[in-house]
Amino acid sequence: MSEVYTPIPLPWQRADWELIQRTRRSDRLPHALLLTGAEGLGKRHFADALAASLLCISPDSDGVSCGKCRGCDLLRAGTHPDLKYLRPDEPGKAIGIDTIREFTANESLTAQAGGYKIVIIEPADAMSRSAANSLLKTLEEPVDWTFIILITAQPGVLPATIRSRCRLLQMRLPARTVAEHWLSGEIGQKETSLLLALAAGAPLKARALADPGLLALRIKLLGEFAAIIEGKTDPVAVAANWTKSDPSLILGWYSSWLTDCLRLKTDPNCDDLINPDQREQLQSIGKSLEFKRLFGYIDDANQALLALSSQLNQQMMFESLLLPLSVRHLGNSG
Amino acid sequence: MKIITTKAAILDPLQQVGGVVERRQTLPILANLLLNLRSKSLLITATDLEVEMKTSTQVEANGELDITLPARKLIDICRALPDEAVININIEGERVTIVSGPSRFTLGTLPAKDYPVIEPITSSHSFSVPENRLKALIEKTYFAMAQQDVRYYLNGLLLEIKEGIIRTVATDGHRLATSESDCQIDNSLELQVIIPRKAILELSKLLEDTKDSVLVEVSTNHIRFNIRSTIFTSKLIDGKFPDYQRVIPTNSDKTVIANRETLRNALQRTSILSNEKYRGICFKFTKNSLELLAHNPEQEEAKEELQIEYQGDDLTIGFNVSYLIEVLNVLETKEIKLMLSDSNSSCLIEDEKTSNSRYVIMPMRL
Repeated sequence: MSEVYTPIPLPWQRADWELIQRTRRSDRLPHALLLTGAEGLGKRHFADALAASLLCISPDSDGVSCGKCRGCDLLRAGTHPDLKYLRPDEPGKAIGIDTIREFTANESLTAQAGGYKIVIIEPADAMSRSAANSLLKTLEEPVDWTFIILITAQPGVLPATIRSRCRLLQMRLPARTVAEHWLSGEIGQKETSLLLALAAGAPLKARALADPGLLALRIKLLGEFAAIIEGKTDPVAVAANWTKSDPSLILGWYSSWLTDCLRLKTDPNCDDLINPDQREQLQSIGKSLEFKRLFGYIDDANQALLALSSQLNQQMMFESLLLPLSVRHLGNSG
Repeated sequence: MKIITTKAAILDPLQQVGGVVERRQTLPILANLLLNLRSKSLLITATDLEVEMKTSTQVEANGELDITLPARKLIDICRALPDEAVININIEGERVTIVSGPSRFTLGTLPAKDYPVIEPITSSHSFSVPENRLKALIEKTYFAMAQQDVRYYLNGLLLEIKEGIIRTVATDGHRLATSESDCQIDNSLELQVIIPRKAILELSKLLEDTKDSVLVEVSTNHIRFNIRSTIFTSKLIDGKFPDYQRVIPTNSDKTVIANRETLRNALQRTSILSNEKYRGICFKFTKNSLELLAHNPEQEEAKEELQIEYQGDDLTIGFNVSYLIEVLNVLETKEIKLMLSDSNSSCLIEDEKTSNSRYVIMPMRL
């Protein structure tokens, strides 16, 4: 897997970066770091930048790697012998015990370049229970100069025995202005605040959404959602249509529409919306739904989000979410 | 850029370093060999990130060149060519063409600067040993190394230099093997490093029975052996080896002298009917006689008696027969010496004359 080699921490990571560099300068770097925080905050980027900083022969006074030395060259080529990534074989699958064992078996060897040996486990919550257990001994007492970085958006999923062996570094959402400034630098001036709102403030997630096709899809699906509520279209056909894209993205949208409906129903002047551009439509949908049902739909959507990682027929999942919407309509009119 | 060589000249070096290349790599570039051309000398490097092997060969070429080529494919091509084949390697940008007679192969390359070579060692210590001595030191001990033990410092061979003597030690917690040799090394040099299991196995294949001097360089992270035209480098195990001296029994009061060949053959026969998992055999020592007893879960039994030299009290003790056979295989003298004290204490085995190599085996409760 090729790594994008950008060793400078993102603007909102300055404080965390300086904290780590300070501990490094005072020789008190922990042996294991647990990086947590919502998706799309750049945790992986931070880990990569930190790895580059530790493996660089002559980092600058800020700790940023030089990009010119032998270590940096190998990092750019993705062949640095002292940096290992432990990832699932396929995205969404578990990190198995064999992957962890292979790492722990060789962990006792000295580093090739004579500095740190770094391993990045990402996402750490993908480790199976047995894989996590086989890591415990090494995680507790690695040999000198080993630095283990675990990345996860869901630290609660990790066994407590793993969490307690790591220094926790929790990344926070950047201030809106910082995020907007960065995002407009990345994608130009278009719609930064809408994108950030859609991504719940996570800048990297917002950047991934900055695709006209995706935004158009969102409007189209919202239209279909509204049509089901009004009883104008067949929920089964819509469900079949919805399975064609990334289900976690669509479920996230769906859940955000319902949430906004609820917010607008409670307070028609609510400013804090996830979909500020669709205020009118969501407000009208909200009006036609009862509170109790709205809460029920949101619960169902959240249940479905949790169940996504399991073996699930997506068609059936969407059907079970969308059918009740139209049944309500039929029930009322009949 | 063009390199001209022959199958005879290049196949052996290629196969030698090619042995290091793993079948399944974590990084794609590790499937490649690094070739460095410097004034008609071609240096070939392979690594699996744990060990690195370099060897050089003379070729016809001009200029300097750094390139990587897929190891397995290159070796297979060279091996499949006729014995007297002349091999032309043409390098043009990203593509490399190998031409030999009517055959023509085009191979892909990866950038040489991405290859993770071990930088030249800034050695903190270096010394020389005759090749055959080094080979013997390894062969007499390496079988006792642990395999995938959680005590990671046991999964390798300890190389120790102290007071001019070079010593190797291996143990897996049940048995210990140590061998030493006086190699006229500078008396002030003192060092202890643990060489990983894989490197030792590679090294034992590489070393031959010559009196050539091998230069060994040790840094904090690596050990490097310069064996004739080959340079073999390995990472070290970052750990502390247990104090092996305390394990070697010193208060044994019973000495047994036995013919090595006779004892080994008897053990081999008896072992057939020992428990396949635990390999336990019961030894009954009485005056000048040893009785071996083995039985397995199917209640089958083996019994053997042999003549030994023994003057002490009667003693019954159990051992893992595999451990004993491995020791008897590497000892060279006609007679060997076993030193025992009681059925709960470990046994020390040496050859009868010198005590250059010593072996400690823990008893079993049968």
